[in-house]
Amino acid sequence: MTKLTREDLRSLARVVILANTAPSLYRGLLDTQIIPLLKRGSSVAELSNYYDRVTSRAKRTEIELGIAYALLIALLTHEDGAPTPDSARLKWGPAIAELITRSTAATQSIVITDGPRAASVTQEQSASSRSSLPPPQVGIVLVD
Amino acid sequence: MIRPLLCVAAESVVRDTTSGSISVFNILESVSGAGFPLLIQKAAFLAVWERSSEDPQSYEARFAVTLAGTELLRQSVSVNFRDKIRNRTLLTVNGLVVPQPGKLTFSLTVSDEVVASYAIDVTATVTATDEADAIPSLAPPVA
Repeated sequence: MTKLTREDLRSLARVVILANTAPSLYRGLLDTQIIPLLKRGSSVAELSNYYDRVTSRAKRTEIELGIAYALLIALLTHEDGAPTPDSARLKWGPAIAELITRSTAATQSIVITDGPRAASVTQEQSASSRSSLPPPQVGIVLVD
Repeated sequence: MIRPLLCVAAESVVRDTTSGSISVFNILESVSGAGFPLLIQKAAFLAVWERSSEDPQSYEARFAVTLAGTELLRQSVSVNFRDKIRNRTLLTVNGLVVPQPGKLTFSLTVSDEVVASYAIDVTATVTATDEADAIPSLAPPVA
């Protein structure tokens, strides 16, 4: 079972206190590096049991909330195909689960501009167009 | 082999940089114009692809906009999954000239068997002319 230091627990609590949205909580927890620690130090069953135990309590401290959200993220992103935890036990659980689902998609945005405006990356259009306008230019932005 | 999950054309497709979610605004279902050639100032095409873990990550595709089989625009696109299972490709065309009415098709072709396409009708509107017909005078004739 993963052993978290006092500093780890403090940083979890800090993230929970400072987060005002689900994305900010998710990104804050990713920045703590505790999630890879949880995945390395515990089996999927241990993480799942711990998540059930922490989320079964009605009242939770900031540290317990931080641990719960970190466990949720660890289970949802586990490479060993962990069973899907019940994200609804946490206020921002479903929103974080949704974020994780969307982050599993690579996104590309390509702009084809008709005119001489230059983009960061340009390509010549290979086909001729019936239009008498100058050939369009292409800008490509890769995100994620 | 990869397969398309979704494709649609709209006035704009945007991605929320905070949450990563995609929003589609004003889906194009048909376009009508009073005169041709017609300029569509902004059109966006969204294709969502899915692959299995054994499939390659990168595919060379061709984006084309055709009108009744005639190509208006063609662009090579690399569909790159970047270690992920899904890919979302957003293509925005700023300025599309449509020469005449017909079926306008947006397509992203990976191979003959793997195509994501979306078609809309481009029609000509008939402009009404408001010319009043001669109205007979109601005043009695002057003797």
